[in-house]
Amino acid sequence: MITGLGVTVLALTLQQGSVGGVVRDSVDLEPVAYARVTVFADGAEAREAVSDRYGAFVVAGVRSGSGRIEVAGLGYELWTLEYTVPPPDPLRVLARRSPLELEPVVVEGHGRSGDPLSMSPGTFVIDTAFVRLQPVVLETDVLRAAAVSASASAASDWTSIPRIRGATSGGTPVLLDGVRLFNPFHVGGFLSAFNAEAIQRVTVMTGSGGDSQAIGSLSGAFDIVTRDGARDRFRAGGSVGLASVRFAAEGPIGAATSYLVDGRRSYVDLFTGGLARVGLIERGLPYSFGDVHAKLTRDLGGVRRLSLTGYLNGEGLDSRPGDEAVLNAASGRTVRTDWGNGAVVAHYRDRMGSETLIDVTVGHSRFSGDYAVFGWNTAGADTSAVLRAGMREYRAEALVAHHRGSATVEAGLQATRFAAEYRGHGRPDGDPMDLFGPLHLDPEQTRIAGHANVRLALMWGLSARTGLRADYFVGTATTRWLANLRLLLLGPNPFENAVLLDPGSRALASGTARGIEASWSWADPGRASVAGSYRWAQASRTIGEDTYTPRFHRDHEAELAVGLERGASTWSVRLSARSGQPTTPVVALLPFAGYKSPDSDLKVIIDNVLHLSGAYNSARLPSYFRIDVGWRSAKEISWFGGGTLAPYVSVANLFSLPNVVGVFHDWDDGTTTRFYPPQLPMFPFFGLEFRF
Amino acid sequence: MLVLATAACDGLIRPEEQFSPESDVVTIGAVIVAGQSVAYLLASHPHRGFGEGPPNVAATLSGPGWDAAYADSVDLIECGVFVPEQWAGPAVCLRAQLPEPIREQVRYSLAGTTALGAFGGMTTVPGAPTVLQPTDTVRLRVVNSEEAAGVDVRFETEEQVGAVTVDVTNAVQMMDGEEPKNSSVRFTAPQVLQIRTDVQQVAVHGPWVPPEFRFDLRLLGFERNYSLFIERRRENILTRPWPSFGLTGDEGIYGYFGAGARSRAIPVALRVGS
Repeated sequence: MITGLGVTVLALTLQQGSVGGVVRDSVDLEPVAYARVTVFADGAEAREAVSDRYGAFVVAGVRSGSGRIEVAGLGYELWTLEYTVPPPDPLRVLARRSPLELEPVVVEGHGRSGDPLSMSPGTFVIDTAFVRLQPVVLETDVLRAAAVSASASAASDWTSIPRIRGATSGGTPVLLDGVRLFNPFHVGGFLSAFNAEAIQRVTVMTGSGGDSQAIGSLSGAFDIVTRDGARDRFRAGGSVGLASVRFAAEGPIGAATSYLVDGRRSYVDLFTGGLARVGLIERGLPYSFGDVHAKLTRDLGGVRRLSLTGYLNGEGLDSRPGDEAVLNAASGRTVRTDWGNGAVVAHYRDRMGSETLIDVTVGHSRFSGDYAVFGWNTAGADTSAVLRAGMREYRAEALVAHHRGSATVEAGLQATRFAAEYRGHGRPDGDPMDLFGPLHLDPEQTRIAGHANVRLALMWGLSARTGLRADYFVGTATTRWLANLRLLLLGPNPFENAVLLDPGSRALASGTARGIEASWSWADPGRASVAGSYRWAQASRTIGEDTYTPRFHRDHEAELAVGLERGASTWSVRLSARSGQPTTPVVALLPFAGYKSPDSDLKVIIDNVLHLSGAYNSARLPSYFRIDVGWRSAKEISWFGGGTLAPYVSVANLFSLPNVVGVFHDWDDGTTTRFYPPQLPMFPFFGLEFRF
Repeated sequence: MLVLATAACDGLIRPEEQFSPESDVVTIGAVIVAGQSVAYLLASHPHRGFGEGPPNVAATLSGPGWDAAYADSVDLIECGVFVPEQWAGPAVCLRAQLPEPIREQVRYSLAGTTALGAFGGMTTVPGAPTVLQPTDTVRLRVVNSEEAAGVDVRFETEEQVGAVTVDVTNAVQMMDGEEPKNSSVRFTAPQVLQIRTDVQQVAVHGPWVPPEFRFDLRLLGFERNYSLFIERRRENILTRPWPSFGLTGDEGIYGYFGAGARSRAIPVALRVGS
């Protein structure tokens, strides 16, 4: 009996095959991710799969014989194919854009914005269309929009990249085409370091399992995928905003290769410098940032492809011009600091048979920064301290995805090599207000990981998934000399704070986050779309015997993004309601006067107040509420052979609701006052995007 | 841009507000120094308004075989409070006349009561820092009155000394054809020296005028109680559980009780002018 059943199962299996291929945009041939591919084999249950980040799909368990294939990509017309036998070779699905397209700038149709959740369970997917249905804050930023996810929490209005489920930013890496960027920010975190022109999609991974298992992070990841570049013709796009200008050029090289080159440069230094030169302002702001990105993609036929990505960004501040201490006139010091990231990634995809996809990625990422303090109290020298910082990561990984029946098995190997070097050249007897004396840190670490997981498609759209990951860390040796490391109190110069932390002061800690997340979306294509989320959670950290709430955690967060389309215009509203963040309450004042001998001839005596506080983060700041509104339009023009201009205007924090990010206690003239560092006040932003 | 934005909307952000404590507090500050025959105690009501009066404190300093009450209420300036109306609440400076000077390596205790309850503390006076360098009068030249005088010092301390500060005494402005005039200096930098045996430079800031200025530099070494307070007071905010600064009290009574000793004088003669 058992043998008979086994023969039957084997016979059915032999009658089954698979259908694979790639879904591409019919105009520029960009891959279309998260398209739903359904195979209706006659006399059998429908089989379904979703295209991956490269547009590839494998529908396994397809019964032999005739049938029909449907491919539904949001923002694309339904693509169908009738067959008498399942196609043995990889299909090339060219999906036509929906006639209700939002604007030509958008790679995918506006319908994408209506449903950032459903196509990839456990993740929150943000594409350019979704981003463009959000009011702009300074400039279009694909990562700022991620805070709509129920799992993501913005630490403050001043940071574009949110935190995931109570973790610190170190536990949630930001990956660009598969390689980690160490410093994915500009403007102190206000802008992400990614040019929106180049980004196809950001996937917010919300845990350490599921899709995140291949990454091996503590708390999810931001997986940024750049576009391949148009393969139909040369195209150019960009924008001019308050902070920077962006530009992108893309096009085909031959029949199977495409390129994308893009860049961004801020101009606050040029603008304020010009104003200073004509005497309209006293001095310019000597700060700038920029980034460049290039990608070359070769379609090797079917699902096979090869891509090369290069990325470089830089940022700098130089307060030396004119020998004036712009940042810290009180101390008479000037600062020059510059830093940046670079990354290169090569990715190759192939297949083994009809049901197995193979991905091989090799990448390198590096960060470097210089920090120099000039002048003041360093006798006999014009430089009081110099810090050089560098971090490097080399990464190689291979991933195999095998589709069989209702199951998908993924297995991978990953090796990363991390190395960092910090060298501080300060005077060991320098003033305590200097950042550091001599220091030297050069940790290195190699990590080898293997992981596998199985996903089973169940009925009613449900699926089950389980997996295992094992990591082996090699060589955590760290040599350091930190005897002279000093850390500044907050206050005198924000650019000199929180740069370094003595690793010796770190302690093993644990943390938890428990709660409920709910996200929803609704779209009426061409008219309106709504996406929202609510999250209640409690997060905690434990170090030794102390358990506390992380500084930026909020128990309750509700987000709502609404987009309304009227003709060529799109109106957007973003509402955020959040409970207050933790703060440490002051419960008593302890005034003191520095000891002075009765016969002392010193005039200056220290007196101040020491604020005695309750338990760390045991109180809450006032709750948070913010309304952003935005408008953008799309106007067809005939310049340069035809294109689109898309002006946008937005107002952040309409009504200027006084949200706060913290509280400081300051004592002066006999009273202690509470000062609340503000979040974003009401402020308008505007700009112009273009594409030809 | 963000700075401009913030500045533009300065009137629309949440305003500052005065700290409104919920409980009453008495703070005590007392430091004794070897060689002195008086001791001071500063008591404050930092959570009260000035109209409510200073705290009522009865306190006693006990040495080897004797007790001395902080019986005299003296001007706040003797406790280091130069502008009482800018102090954190009403305060009182109490002085105790001691039967003998404070001695190094001797243990002293403090006990007292306030309306909020009792407090007490204990400390042992450390040995004074031993100045190894300079060994004789330091002769320096500065070009003008704004230039600081850099004095290289090297010293040793006992293990129980946790912080060393700088004191200046006997400041005298020498005048051509006139009698020397008692003077003062503004400040020294750094104010707290690192405890080690190699040379550190102390910058003394005038003003001084030609032809010469003289002063004595002394180093003050403090035991762990007050040293810890010197270290932690820079933090502005101290999270519970608060460290002990040598004084414990009932709920609502906070403060420090420490001791120090002063090194020998380092005479400095400063020629002013080119």
